[in-house]
Amino acid sequence: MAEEQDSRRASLFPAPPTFYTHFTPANQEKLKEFQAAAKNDEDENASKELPAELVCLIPPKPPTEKYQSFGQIWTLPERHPTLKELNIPQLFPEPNNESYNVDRAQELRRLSKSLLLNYLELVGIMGMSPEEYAEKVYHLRIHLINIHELINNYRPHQARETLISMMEEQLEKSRQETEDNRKACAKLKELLGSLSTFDAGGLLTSDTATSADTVTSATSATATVTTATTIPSGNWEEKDSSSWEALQQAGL
Amino acid sequence: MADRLTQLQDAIDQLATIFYCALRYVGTHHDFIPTHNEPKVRDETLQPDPPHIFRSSQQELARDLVLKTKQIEVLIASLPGIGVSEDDQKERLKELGMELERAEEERLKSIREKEQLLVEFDEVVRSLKRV
Repeated sequence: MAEEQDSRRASLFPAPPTFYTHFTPANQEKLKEFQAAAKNDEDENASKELPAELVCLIPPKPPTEKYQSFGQIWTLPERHPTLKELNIPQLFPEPNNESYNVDRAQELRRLSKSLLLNYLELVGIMGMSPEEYAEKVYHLRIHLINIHELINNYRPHQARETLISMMEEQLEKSRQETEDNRKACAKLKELLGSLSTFDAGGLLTSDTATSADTVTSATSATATVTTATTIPSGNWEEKDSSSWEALQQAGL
Repeated sequence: MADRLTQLQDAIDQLATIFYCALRYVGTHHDFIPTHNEPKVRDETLQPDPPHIFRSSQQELARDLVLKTKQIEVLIASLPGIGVSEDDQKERLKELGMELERAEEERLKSIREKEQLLVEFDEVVRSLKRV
């Protein structure tokens, strides 16, 4: 039975637990009756037990400390078990908040050196008396586990660091966009400013052939009329061919 | 590309694999040397490599080992945020959050301004196009 259970837990698609056959409409009816009866005479029925096939119909209480899922034990709240809990010697000192990260890199370096040294010793042992390999292999194992543990402890730190760099990037982008917008605005304002002083009057005076070289007189005449209606505050007397050029540059 | 920590972890795993491979190679490809006048020992399960190949393979494995170790050291040295404490990070994050909000406000303002100007400009252009 135990074996069967193990194999069921280990298989990729475990079979449903055997008690699923109890979930029949008839049993559910029975359970309802039972509970109703239990309510009617509360204290008396406290000791009265449910029939075996009905027990499974009542969902168990949610776990508060730890639970098992697919053969693995999970703690509540979920957290990484420490090496001590796993009965593995911890080769690095407990973190103190001050210079934690400097220490961590240092510890990692130290452990990786030690790992290599242990391997060297293992190779030596294999040359001299191969049957004594077990202890060194155990040491190697402990070292590897410790290194991985250290690295995994480092992850939240890295996550924060990544977040910081991402935010910095976004800040940079946002500022750049603002800057670009402002530049575009300044350009546009300049253009509008030159437009408002756009010499409608000068074009009007083009009839008197002063600036007929820049525009054909026919378009200028009508253009001045419309410009004059939209920008009444223009300086009528000033002639400004550069604003006209600016407009042309803007694709007009 | 994976992050630094994952890279480091992978490198450590690879190092362990190299550990194993090196020992296994030496164990399965070595030749025997007879002592004195005894006949050379034979083992059918072994396929000894010729001496020069065995030698060069050994060197290659050793080089791999050293290279991997160096790589691990480099990775450790380049881990992000060394010398920054968690509190520093939190402080920085808060600061960045505030700055981001400000920058976003500015950005929206500039966009509004731009749009406003575009509308103005558009009117002018329209009036000109009517020509």
